[in-house]
Amino acid sequence: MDDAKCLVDEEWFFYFQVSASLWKEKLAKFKGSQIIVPINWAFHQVDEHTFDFGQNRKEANLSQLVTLAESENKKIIFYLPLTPAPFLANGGVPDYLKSILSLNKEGMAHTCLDHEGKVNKLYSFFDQHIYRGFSYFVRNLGDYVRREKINSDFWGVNLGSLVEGKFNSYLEDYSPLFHRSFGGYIEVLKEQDRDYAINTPEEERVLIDKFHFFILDLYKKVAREGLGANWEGDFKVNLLGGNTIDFIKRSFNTDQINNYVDEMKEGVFQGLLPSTILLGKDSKSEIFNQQLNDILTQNYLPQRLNPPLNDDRSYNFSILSFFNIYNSTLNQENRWLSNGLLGFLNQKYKWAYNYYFNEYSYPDFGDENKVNFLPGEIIDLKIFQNMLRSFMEGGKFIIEKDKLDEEFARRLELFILENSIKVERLKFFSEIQNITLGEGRILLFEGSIFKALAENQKRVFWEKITNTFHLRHLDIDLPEDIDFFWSTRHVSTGEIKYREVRRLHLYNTGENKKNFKIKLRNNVSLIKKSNEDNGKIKTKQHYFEVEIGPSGSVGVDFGIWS
Amino acid sequence: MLKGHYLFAVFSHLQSSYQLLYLFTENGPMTKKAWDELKTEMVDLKFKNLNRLNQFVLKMAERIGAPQVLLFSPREFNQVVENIEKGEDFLEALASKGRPLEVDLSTQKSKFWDNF
Repeated sequence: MDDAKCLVDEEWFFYFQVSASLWKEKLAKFKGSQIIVPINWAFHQVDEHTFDFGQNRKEANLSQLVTLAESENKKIIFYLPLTPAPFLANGGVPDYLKSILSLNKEGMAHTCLDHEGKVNKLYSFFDQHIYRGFSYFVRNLGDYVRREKINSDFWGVNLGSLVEGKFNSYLEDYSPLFHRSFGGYIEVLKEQDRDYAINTPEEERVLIDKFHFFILDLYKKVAREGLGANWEGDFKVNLLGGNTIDFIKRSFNTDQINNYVDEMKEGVFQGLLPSTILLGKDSKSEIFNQQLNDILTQNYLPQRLNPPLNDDRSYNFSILSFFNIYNSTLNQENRWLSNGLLGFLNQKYKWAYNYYFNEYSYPDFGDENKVNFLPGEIIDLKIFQNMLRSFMEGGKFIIEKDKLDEEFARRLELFILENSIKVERLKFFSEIQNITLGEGRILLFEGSIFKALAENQKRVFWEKITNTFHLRHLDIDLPEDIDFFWSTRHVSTGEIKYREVRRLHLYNTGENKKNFKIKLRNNVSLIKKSNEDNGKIKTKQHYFEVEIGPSGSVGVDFGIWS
Repeated sequence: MLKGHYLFAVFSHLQSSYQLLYLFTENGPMTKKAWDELKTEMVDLKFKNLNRLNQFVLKMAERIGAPQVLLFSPREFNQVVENIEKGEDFLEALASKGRPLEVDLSTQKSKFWDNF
């Protein structure tokens, strides 16, 4: 049996492709302690009314799979696709239910190549037969899980790919079936409000987004109800190599594996869970696998699937990020791009900020160390309340106030007055209000000023503003073909003079040896080299020299002084 | 620079205009940068009628030296994908199912295309 079918390098196990007699042997090969197992609905559905969870085929016995994993000291984490799954034949839909192909905005069929190069077509989840079939399946799956006393976590996964940097779910569909359902949705809205009308293409786009979200929520709801106590929640998985352009490139073997590294990192910094399961094992280079392991398997996956409790601050590294940038779905123009923030961050804080599209979910601003950028118009009552709670606990916010609802602007003024909070008003390109309470800050600025500013002025603006947060980040200027990312951890008792420890991971994706220097700055000390694989680090007084051979990597730990 | 023997073009017909959606050869699609530049230059790659779109695609074929041009509507492209059998060569399937356009490679090339 081919190990590629187990996808060991990314901790995924396709149980339905491996004989049950080989499960134990294959499970033992996984390096990590947790193994991701995607549920294959079609594999368990024998016919319209019958399911197989091991009664007929041993390979369908999920309880046995969990027991075998436990005997190898591994934990199974089940992923239940809430959308078409392009790594499964027919997107995971049982044969008897496949009917209408799901189409993208341009009318092209959603089609993907799986890791074996097979073409998988996706069917519309707006088909009510598929919805009913899925509901029936998850109820039976839940009954089976309870009957067998399976304790494993089940996560609902919204699968999609990045299209021009934005996550597109495979549930999104523009087939005739979708248009019919959407028409019905509008009729319902009109029944509720006689005057309801869509006046602009922009309004229609927003409503279509909402409708897609509404349908996804229906699938999520039945899955949550079916799985009861085993349901852990849901997240988005972006499949590298999974969009239409990738399909064309991969069909003709013209994709460049190293191009997926940036897409993987983009996914991580958008709060998605990137996966390479569509890409063949043979197509992944050594250096790509190294980055995949360092970023996903070692840092990000454990952080997402088992976040540490507050009183359990381990010394494990997690991905470093200074900023959360939120966007509005109401406005297609990317203000953070046009006002120069993204350009500035990509120069100075590349791979060290999170970027979120507002998709009808509410940020809780749980990490007070991060600076949150908010467009005024996304602030509703819930976000406003979360923001003030976080502010009082030390949370930091930068708000473009132009479209801030008057009601919330008034409430904020009232909050400042009632609590005698310090407010500074200054003019720096824009009228700026700087509200401070202990560590907490709310900084309001005018977005309209940027139209009149040159690119270098925008950069000066953001440089000055971000400098006031004293973030202590190293400037690094790297040669071509050198990839990198940062991670961070709490200090141990022996490192008490530092505030935190940061690790810089460097990779040479090119074919030639690279030499370069990285300058140290005040309040940052080099602690140790964490790895040197076909690379060397020489430390000097105010800088260090790095030499990395082709496909080599090095890691360096820095202490950030208190 | 896009190169290839086959030039494949997928277009849609919406609200009395034709829009070029994808342009690729057997060596893959254009780089994103070149595609974005082309879209800006050619106003979102929208054409008044199919004839103008054909002319544009033919010029592109001349520029890159592709003797075979095949046009697809999304529906035609989907039919190829839907009917593709396991093990079948995708390139062969596309090359045999598209609408061919006649290319004259002797046409004078204009400087406009140098960026692509």
